[in-house]
Amino acid sequence: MQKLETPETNLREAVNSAAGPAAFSNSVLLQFAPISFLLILISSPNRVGGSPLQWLLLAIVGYLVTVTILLAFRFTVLSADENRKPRPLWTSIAFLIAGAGRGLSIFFLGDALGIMSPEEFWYRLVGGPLFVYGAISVLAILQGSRNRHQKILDALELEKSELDELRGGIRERIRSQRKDLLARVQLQLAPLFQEMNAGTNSATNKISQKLTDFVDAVVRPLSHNIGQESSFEIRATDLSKKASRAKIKPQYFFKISVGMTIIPELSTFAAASLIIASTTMIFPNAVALATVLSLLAVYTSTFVMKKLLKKLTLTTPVAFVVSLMVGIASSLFSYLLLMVFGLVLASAQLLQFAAAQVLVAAISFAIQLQRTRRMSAEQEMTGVVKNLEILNSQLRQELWLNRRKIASVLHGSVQSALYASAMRLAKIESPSADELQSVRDDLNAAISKLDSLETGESIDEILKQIIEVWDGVVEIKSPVISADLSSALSDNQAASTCLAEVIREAVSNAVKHGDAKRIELEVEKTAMNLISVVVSNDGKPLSKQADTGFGSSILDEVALNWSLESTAELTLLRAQIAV
Amino acid sequence: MYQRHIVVVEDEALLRDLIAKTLEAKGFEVTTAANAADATRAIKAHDPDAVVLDVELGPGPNGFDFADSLRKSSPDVGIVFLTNLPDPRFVGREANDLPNSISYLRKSQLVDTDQLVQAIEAVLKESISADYRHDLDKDRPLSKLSKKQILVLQMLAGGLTNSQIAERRGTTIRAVEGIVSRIFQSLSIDVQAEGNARVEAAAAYLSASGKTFSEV
Repeated sequence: MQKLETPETNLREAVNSAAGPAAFSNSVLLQFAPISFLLILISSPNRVGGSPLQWLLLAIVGYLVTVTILLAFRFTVLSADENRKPRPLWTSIAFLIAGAGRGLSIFFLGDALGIMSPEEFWYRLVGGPLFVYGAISVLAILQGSRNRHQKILDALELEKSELDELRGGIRERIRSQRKDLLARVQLQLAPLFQEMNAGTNSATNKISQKLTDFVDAVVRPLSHNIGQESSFEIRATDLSKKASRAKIKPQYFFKISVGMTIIPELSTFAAASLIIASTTMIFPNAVALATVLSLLAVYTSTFVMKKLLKKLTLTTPVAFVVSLMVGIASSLFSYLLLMVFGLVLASAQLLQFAAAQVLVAAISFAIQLQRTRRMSAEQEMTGVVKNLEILNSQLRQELWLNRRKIASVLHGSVQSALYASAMRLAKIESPSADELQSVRDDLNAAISKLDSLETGESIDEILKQIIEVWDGVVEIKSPVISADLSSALSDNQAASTCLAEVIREAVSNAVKHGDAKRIELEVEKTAMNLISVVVSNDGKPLSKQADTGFGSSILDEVALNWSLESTAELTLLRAQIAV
Repeated sequence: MYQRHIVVVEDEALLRDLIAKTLEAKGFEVTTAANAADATRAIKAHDPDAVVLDVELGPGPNGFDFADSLRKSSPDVGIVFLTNLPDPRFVGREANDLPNSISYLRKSQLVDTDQLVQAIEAVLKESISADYRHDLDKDRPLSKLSKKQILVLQMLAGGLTNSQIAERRGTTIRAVEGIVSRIFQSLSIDVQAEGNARVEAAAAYLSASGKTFSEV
């Protein structure tokens, strides 16, 4: 079973969520209803007396008063607009006033119904605000976490869609390039066909036909091959599937660190909302001492348990049971500590306290379980987007290389063959069969280069060329190419050519614009699909204009990302290239 | 008799051989090189009088890189560019990037091989006239545009929006709008007329650079 990492709790994040707009959202106010009703219906009738119907009425009134006050704050100073910043002070005031309203409304209505004793006043006045504060804060933290998670997933999904769209555009352009390939070759050859056909006999017609056949035999299969689905497409499909899984993954059974599901701060905070009010009734003469001891016991015991159980990894159902036991252990520890100071809880009170701690432990577990799932989903989605970025960068490289090769062959070999043949034919009034044969051979040789689009010089050879060309002008320290990197580059000509182009451009700019005397090249494979390139030189810093020139245009196309940085002594170009 | 030595740097074997034979027939001693590294070795070995140089030399350093290096290491060697590019702006350099002492011929403008020989002679005698500087020809494609405008036009032809161009250049959209507007003016494109001014501008770029949409 897969083990998932649980994120550390973040107090600042929790406070921001509790004091943020989520606390006043309809969703949180509705989620508060069952908790509000349950607390009253479970704890009060047995302790205070009265019929279930009377307590249902009190629960309804208590809930409505609480929500009405919170809504009054929402429509005045604490809007539920998701862009509102957290306002801890105003939120605290709202919670306390709403809780006081709740406690007082329950007390006075209960008093009117004849079921509320005067001793309940302080319990309701203190307990109401603490309960509302604790319950709504926890719900808001949960809701805030959910909202953030959704926002992150939405942003990642959007990014993925944009990358998908971009990839679609790139592939379309590659397809269009390849269509152009054939048309361009035919277009380039047309004038020569005409010239040869016009001036001569049937032999030249045969040659023309042979040349046409040659185009069909070489260029069309080449276009067909290039147009087939590449491994990029297959990888993109896999990643898209993975992204969908990350978004909807309903994963609840996995291994989790038990210690990480315990939140001492939350346990203490939640316990405070019950303990402070309860001690006013249980230990009226030692409210402060009993409260401090109880909270200290809860925090210390949960904190120690968290540390002890951090490395204990269990499947989620078992981890849940263990975390509930931690709640029981925490209440027992409090019981014992209070007893040491002569403050003894009755068994019913201990049971109630233990039940409350178990409930808090369950809530903590639920929070951490959700956070674990969300973090896992976010990590997976982030990984998908990162891989898609790399994939798109590779596609851009493919596009660039394809374009370069096509341009190189068309403007180079084919065009040169045309010029050279034209020059030769221009000097001959009536070409002989041998001369026409020679022209044909030349053209065949030029067109045959289309077939060798996939071959190229190795990065080592190109680096040697760069160093040799600039020898005597600038000292270039060659990079050490590891065996791993060398192997990756030999398997990926696009990446190899792109890497060479980045280095060529950087060296050329450093000499031309920076008047550099020494350049150092560093190339290393930093991840499975990434090469990091650093070109440092001792020349003058490059201007902003040079930064946004054609060199940067090439870098934009072939690199996943790049940056230019100037220090007092060096100018550094850093780029990452997908491989 | 002393034969002047020329290094011909051209990655296309057919054209390289044709140029070499033509120059040999005119009394030059010729060494050929297929790329910039070969050319560097040839320069060291023969200390030639001049080089005839293409810009596109395949993977690795291009003709401009080689020329920059050569001008620093052997400033007395004459340089004759023989290329398809209208001028250096098309590879991101300034239009006036090249010194007065060099010759720049476009292959498509070359009437016959004699013109190449005349250009070499002019370079060797340091008497370059406008006839041997096709890169400065007023009638060359997009001659009225600056390097910056060519760059923006290239992005425009590549289908980028003004905001995408601004992002790439690290400027504001308003600044890009200004450049695009001046490009339209320079190319005499009527933005009020029917049709898409951006498409017209892109077509002008493609025509000048000899590229297709997919190559931009």
